[in-house]
Amino acid sequence: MGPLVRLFPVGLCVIAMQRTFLSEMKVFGVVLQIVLALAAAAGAGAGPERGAIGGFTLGLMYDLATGSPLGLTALVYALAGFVAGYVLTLTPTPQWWLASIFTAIGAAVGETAVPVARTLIGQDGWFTSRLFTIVPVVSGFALLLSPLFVPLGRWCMCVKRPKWKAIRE
Amino acid sequence: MALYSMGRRRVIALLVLTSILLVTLDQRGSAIIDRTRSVMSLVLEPFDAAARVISRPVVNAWKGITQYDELVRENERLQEQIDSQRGAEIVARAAILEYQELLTLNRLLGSSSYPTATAQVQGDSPSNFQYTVEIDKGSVDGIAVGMPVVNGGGLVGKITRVTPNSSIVLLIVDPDFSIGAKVLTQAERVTPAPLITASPTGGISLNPDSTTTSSTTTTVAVAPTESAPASTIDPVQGPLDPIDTGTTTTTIPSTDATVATTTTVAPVEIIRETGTLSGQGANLPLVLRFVNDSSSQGRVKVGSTVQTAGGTQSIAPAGLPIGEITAIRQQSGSRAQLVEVRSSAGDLSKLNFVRVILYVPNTSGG
Repeated sequence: MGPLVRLFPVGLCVIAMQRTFLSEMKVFGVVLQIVLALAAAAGAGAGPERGAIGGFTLGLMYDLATGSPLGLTALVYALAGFVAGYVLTLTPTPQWWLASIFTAIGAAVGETAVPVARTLIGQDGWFTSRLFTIVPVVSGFALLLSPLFVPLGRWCMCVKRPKWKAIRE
Repeated sequence: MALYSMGRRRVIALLVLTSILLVTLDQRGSAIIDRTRSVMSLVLEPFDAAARVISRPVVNAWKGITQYDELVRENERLQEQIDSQRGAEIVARAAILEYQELLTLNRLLGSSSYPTATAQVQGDSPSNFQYTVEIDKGSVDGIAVGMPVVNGGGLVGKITRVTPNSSIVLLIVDPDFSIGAKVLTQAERVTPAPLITASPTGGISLNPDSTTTSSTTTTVAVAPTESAPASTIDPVQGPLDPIDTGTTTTTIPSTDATVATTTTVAPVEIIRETGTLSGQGANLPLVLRFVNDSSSQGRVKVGSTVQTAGGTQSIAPAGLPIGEITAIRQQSGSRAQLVEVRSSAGDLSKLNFVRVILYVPNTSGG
C-alpha cells in the first residue's frame, strides 16, 4: 500500500507535465516521455519486481489520463521497469552511472514495445523508420533524468538503498 | 539474485494477465472504465492547469529558440499563398453562394447547415504513437464522441473521448483514423464530332457544320485543335474522339479542304468514386482505398478533390473537404490503386482553433 500512496501523487504531477508542456516541447519531432523515464528509473532503483509494479501503476494512470487503450501502456511500462530493474541483479548497490544506463535501456525497450503492443491489438501502421529517431531520443531523455529519477523512484517504491556495514569481530 | 525466481514469475504473469483483461474490457467498451477515465480527468485538471501556468514561459522560450527560423519562412510562404489565393477566393465565394442557394431551393442540407462549436487546442498528443489533440470544449458544449472536427481548410479529425470540459480529437493522419470519402473528378471530354448519316442516294451526309471534300466524297471531321496540320477521317466511327487517332483511314491536309471547324466542349462530367480514407502518420499523405477496385481504374486523376462521403453510417456529413489527390500508384500484385491524398487542413501539428460540427449521423435510415 505504501508505494501506491507515494506513487499516485508523484504520478499525477509527472502525467500533468507529460500532457502539457512536454507534449509541446518536441526534440527532433519526438515527444519526450517523462512517465516512461520514471517507470524505468523506479525499476533501476527498486529492482525488477517493484519496477514492474511501479511501471504498471504509472502506465495505468497514463492510460486513464490520455485515453489510450487501458492496460496497454501499463504493460509496456511494466516491461520497462522490469528491464531497468535487471541492474539490481548485477549488484545490489549500483553506481549512479550504471543505474542511469539501465534506466535508458529500460526506456528504450518500453518505447519500442509500444508499437508492438499496439500491433497486437490491431492498431498497425506504427512500424516506420521514425522509430529509429523516437527510441534514441526517449532513451536519452531518460538517461538525462535518471540521476534525479532513480532516487525518486526508489522513494516512491519505499526502497532504501542498502548500506555496507563493517563486520565487527 | 536470479532474474526469474518463482515470485517474480508470478508477478509478471499477474501483470500481463491484468493488462490483457483490461485491454479486452476497454476494447469491448465498459461503463466502469469510462467513468474511471472521467474521474481521472477531473483529478488531473488542477495538476494540468498548474503545469500549464508554470511551464508557459519555458515552452515559449523553447519554441522561440527552436522554431523561429521556421516561423519566418512559413510566414513568407503564407503571405505569398494569401496573395495568390485572393483572386480565387472571390470566385469560390460566389460559387459557395450559388451552391447554398441551390441547396435551399432543393431543401437539402449542406455541411454548413449543421451547428458548430468553436474550440481551442489545448495540447498535443503526449505519446509518439498517437496523433491526437485536446480541445477546451466538452460534453457541456454539446460535443459527443464521433463528431467531425474541421478547421478553415477541411476535415481535421473526429472526437474520440469527451469529458465535461475537454475532448480528445483523433487526427486524420493517425493510422487508426478511417472515414468514408468520395472523389470528385472533372472528366472533360471533347464532343463527338458531327454525326454521319447515310443518305438515300447511297452517299454520306453530315450536319452542316462538318467538312466535306468533293473530290473523294469523304466525310471529314476535323480535330478541334486549330493548329492541327491534318484531320482524321473515320466514316465508321460515330463520335470521333480527336485525341484518339488510332483508326485513321484518310488524311487530308487541312489546307486542301474547305474546313469549317466546330469544336464543342461537353458539359463537365463529375465522376464520383467512393472509398475509405485513412492516415499513415505525420508528414505522410493520407491513403484512399476504393470500395470497388476496378471502378477507379483510369478515372481518378491527380488533382481530383476528395470530400467526405456522408451517409447514415458516416461520422461526418457529405461534402466536407478532405484534400486533393497527389499521387496514384499501382500496387504490386493487386489491381487496386493506392491513391495518396494531401490534406487540405494544412499542418496539423500547428492547430490552434478548430470547429466541431455537432453532427449526429441519422442511423435510423429515415
